This record gives sequence, C-alpha cells and structure tokens, in this order.
Amino acid sequence: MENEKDKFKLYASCLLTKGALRSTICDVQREKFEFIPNILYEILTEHDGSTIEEVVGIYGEENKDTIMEYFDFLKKNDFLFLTDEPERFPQVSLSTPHSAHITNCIIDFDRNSPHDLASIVPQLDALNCKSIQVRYHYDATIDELESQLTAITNSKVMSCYLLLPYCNCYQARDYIRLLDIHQRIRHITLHSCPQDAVLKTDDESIGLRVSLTEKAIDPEKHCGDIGPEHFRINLRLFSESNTSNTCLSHKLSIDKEGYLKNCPSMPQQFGLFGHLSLKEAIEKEGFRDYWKIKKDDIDVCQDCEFRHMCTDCRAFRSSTENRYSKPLKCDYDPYTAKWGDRTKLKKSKPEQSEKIKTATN
Amino acid sequence: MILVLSQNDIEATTIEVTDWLDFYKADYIRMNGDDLLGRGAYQLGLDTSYLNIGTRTIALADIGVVWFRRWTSTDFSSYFQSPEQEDAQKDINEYLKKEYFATSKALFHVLKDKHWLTDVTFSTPEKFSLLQSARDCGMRIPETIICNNLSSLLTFERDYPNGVITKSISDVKSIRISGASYVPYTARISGKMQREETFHPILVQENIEKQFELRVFYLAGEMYAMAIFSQADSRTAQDFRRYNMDCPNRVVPYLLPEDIQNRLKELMDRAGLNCGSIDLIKSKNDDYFFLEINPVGQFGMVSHPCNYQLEKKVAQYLIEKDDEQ
Ligand code: SF4
Repeated sequence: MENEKDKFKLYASCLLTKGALRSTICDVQREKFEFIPNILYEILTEHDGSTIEEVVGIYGEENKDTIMEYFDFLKKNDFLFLTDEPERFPQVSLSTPHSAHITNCIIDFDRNSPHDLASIVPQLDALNCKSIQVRYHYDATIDELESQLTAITNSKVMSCYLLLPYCNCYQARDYIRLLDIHQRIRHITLHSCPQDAVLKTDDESIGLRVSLTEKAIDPEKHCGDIGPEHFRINLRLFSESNTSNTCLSHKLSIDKEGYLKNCPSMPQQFGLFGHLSLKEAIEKEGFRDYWKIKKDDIDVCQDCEFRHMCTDCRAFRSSTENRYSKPLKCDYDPYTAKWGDRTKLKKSKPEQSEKIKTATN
Repeated sequence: MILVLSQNDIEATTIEVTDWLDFYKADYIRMNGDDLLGRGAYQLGLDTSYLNIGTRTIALADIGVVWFRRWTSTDFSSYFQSPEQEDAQKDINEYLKKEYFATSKALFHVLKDKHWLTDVTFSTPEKFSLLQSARDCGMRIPETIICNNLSSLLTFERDYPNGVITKSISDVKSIRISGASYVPYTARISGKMQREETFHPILVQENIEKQFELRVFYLAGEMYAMAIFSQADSRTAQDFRRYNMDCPNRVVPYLLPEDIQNRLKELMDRAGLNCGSIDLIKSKNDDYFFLEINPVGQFGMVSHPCNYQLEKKVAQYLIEKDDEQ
C-alpha cells in the first residue's frame, strides 16, 4: 500500500515545537526527541496529509534531494507513516483536566517547624492530592520519618519523595526497613554525604529508591535548575506546558516556618498553616496567578524549541520585577541555539548509582 | 449512590475513576470482591434491603448505579491449607472457590434491577455467538473454526494464502511455571508443526494481513478508538500484547467511519453490553475485521496515550445515571 500516492502523517505521539532557529520533534511515546530544521517544521505542519511528491512540487525539484533526505530521517526514526486516510488520524488532545485541586505538595521542615504531617495530610486528602515531597532542613532520624509518615498510610497520597541530609549513623538496611514499612515512599535523596560514603546492601532495587549526593542541598535554593538533564519527554508535560505552568500549576507548598505558598522559594505567602485551611489558602486571591503562566507567555522561552520538555521556574527568574521573565538558572539561548558555559561545564556524574554498592560485587 | 465493584489491590483505573467521583463530590462506595471473604458480617436474601460493606450499611434502595470494574484477587489454590493432604486441599479449594463465585452471583442478583455499567448479571456471549452477531450486524469477521485434528487444520489452512493463526477459545488464563506467569497469546500456526493426528481442540482463524489493529473503548454508544501499529515489529505482528518494552508499538487516536460505528453499536446492543473493549483489524485491503469484545477491558491503555480522559468520562456517566435513578 505504500506507494508514491500515499499521504504522510506524523504519528500523533510525535509532537512538534518550533524554536527561533530550529525545531524539535518530541516522541512522547518513546520519550526521546530529535532536532529538525524549521523548514521541515513548516512542511510537517502546513502540508501534513499531503504526499511527498506534492511537497516536492511546492518546494521545487531543486530541493528534492533535501526533502527526500528529510523524509528518510523521519521514517528511520519511525516518526511518520503513509496512509490514504490521513483524516482518520486526529491529533492527541492537549487538554489536561485534573481530578485534583492540588496535585502535588512540597512540605519543608526544620527542627522548629510548627506544622506536622498528621494535621496536613487529611487536608491534602480533601484536595485529592496524590503526591508530596517532604524536605528536611535538618538530620531527621529514621524513627522520626517512620512515625511522621504513618500519616500517609491510609491517605490519598500515593507517592512521597524525601530529601534530607545524609547521616553516617544509618546503614542501607535502615533505609530498606523504612521503605518496606512505607511503600508509598518512592524515593529518598540523601545529600551532603562524605566523599567515601556508600550504602552496602545485597538488595539491588534500593539503588532505584535511594540516592546519595555529595552536594550540600539547601532545599530552598537548590531548586529551579534547568538544563538538558532535567528535560522530560512525555505527553503530560507536553500538554500541561501548552496550557499552564509546569512547575506551579496545582502545586501547594508549606515552608519550614509553616507559611502556605506556591513554592517555598517564593516570597509571597498566603497565610500560616493552622490559621486557615489549605482549601481556604488556595482559594485566596492571587494563589492561582502563576498557575496560568505557560511557556508561550514567558520571554525567551516562547521562542525555545525545548519549551514543552522543560520545567519552568518562577521563583528564580532573570528579573524579579517581571513575572514573565526567563528562568534565572537557564543559560540556553534559543536565538543562537547555544548553551552557556555553566551548562557546558557541568559534567553529568552518575553519583548515586556508584554510591549504592551491592554486597555481592 | 454509586456502587463501585473492584478488587482489593491498588487498581489504577478504579483509583482514577474514583478520584473524579471525589472531585465531583459524588456519593459513592467501593466494594471489593474480597469483602465477601473478609470479617465484615453480611447476609443476603431475596428480600434484602440493606447491604453491609466493610463498616458501612447501605440501603439497597439508595444505590442508583453499579460499576463493575474488577472483582477478586484471591488466590484460591492456597486459600485453605492442608500440606499433608494435597489432593484434599486442591478439591476443597476448588469447591470453596465455586461457593465464593456463587455467593458473588447471589449478590449481583440482589442488585440486578440497578443500572449497571457492564452488567455481570447478564452473561457475556461466548466467541462463536459474538462472531455470529458481528457478522449479522454487517461486520467482516475472519473465517474461524474450532478443530481437534490435523486433517481439518490442513484443509482449512489450504484456503488461506496468508496463513492461519490460533488463539484462546475462552478467556485467556495465565499459567504459572516455576514462579513466573505466562499468558497465552495469538500465534501463527501451521499444520506442519503438528505431530499428532488429533489434539486438544483449538480455535483456528484465517490470518488477516493488517495495516494496523484497533482497540475501541465503547461507553454507552460512544466509541474511542486507538490504532496500534503492531505490524512493524515481528514480536507484536500477531498479538500486540507481546509488548516490546524498548520500542513500543505506535499507538495513536483513530476516528472510525460512521458506518462501522453504527454496526458496532448494533452489535453491542445485541450482546447486551453498554461498555467494553472491542478489538478490530484494519486489513491491507482496507476492510475492518471484528475480532472480539472484552466486556471489562482495560481502558487505561487507550485513554492515556490518546488522552481521551476516559476515566473522567466513566465518572461523569456514573454520576449522570445515578442522578437519573
Ligand atoms: S529558554 Fe526557557 S524553555 Fe528553553 S531551555 Fe531555557 S528555560 Fe527551558
């Protein structure tokens, strides 16, 4: 059935983003992306459903070789198929309704925090919140974690991510026990660990759920990094970034002092936990303002070919006055298609996998 | 009130639908098949007017709609343990399982006058009767026989230059072999593979050369179709369930032609189904072939890649029906 008469069609799971200098195809099904020239973006958007011959007709015989090369590339990557009924293959809808008022919540604790999970989680349940990140600004003990996290056991919170400083008083088996008791803990990041620290275990799966890093992480400052290592290619993020803010939309945070915020690193607060309910806080004027700022609204990002695989950051931005300014921690320039020195120098070091040692090794 | 029937474990689709029910503040209660095996006391009778579910007591009259999603996850083979008497353990457990399913049927009977999404008080038509109905509704179906002997297989095979396939006659059952689970899948066969003159009955079907497969989620007359490009991969060419993790088959939304939609609707009506997953093939000759219907099919696998939001639609349907009652 594949002959010259067939019309080409991008698979609906291959999504295009046009940048200032070049474009990308996000393969949200196979979670990878490829760069394409802007002219190919034009061919694929304006002439989708035509035959390759027709495209050659439009751009001229003299460009035939290049065009054929483009289509070879698309076929090789399995981005495109030929069909005589392109009208039967609609686009995937990019709408992202949420069955939750809040989808994710960051909760910070230091030694003196007035709030506790036992009183927060029932309120999160009322908002249908499914995912929380709990960040300890001090070396919380495993016993503390174990008892605090009982709050999520029968709640709607299905996944919990923990961030805390490394403590040499614990072995791999202590973390395994914690993960065993609290199956909903998806991941634990232990930061500020000494260079020679390792967790020895014969349970290979722990490497997937615990990671160690030498970096000292101040939770309120470490956030907002942007670079290729943070890109994620999936339909959720792609569609969400078309309609809302990929970091702050449907997010609620409680900072270490108990203030209710969009993000712990942002100055605006909407009251103190305990003085008003979480529901009241998110209904306050201004709470949802940042939710609607999408990549297409943000300076520079709106011209960037990575904008639908990149998470946003509104807490650290290049201009404090301008809500729509580019994230501060991004040094990519879509107008030259070049990364700045900061990104270039960053070595991708697979710290965590090296620091979890299986005893059998 | 909406009664959600599901199973004990974390069941993603049930959770996604009930999240929407929570979001819309719908009145619902979830019951798991294993509640009938639990400690909560209950009693069923023809004139039952109250149901005990866990710690709650529900007036039957308050239930407007029942959604059947899943039922039990209990492994009955080790339900009653008697290590010294293996044969007794086996027989007793088979019997207890039958008793359990009969109890479940009694419960469904008590609920039979409710509006059901996937009515289990109504038994699902078996393969031949569905193929017959599909053909009567104007759908093309692959030629199919059930046979137990080599000569029938060879004669049937001769008529189909594209070969023949075999698949399960009943519902597929997973088979445990030293701890791992295996599920029978659709495979090409040839009489040449067969050494015996007669064998256990198998279903044999002409192999349809595919452009792609279609999985259609059917919800009360609406159809949400997904094309599965399984042809490109030799592993999945016969059965896309033989999933290739590294390079998953392309799956994309598809719009069924109106006349096919009408035929499928008629088929679902005849089969007494208001919900289910329909499997079709779009052949190289541009025909749509009907393969089968799974009344309690997985719809997450259609909903997520196509972003059809089916979990939300199911929740909305349940709320609407509950309000009508
Ligand atoms: S310019 Fe904007 S969209 Fe592009 S990589 Fe940087 S932050 Fe992401």
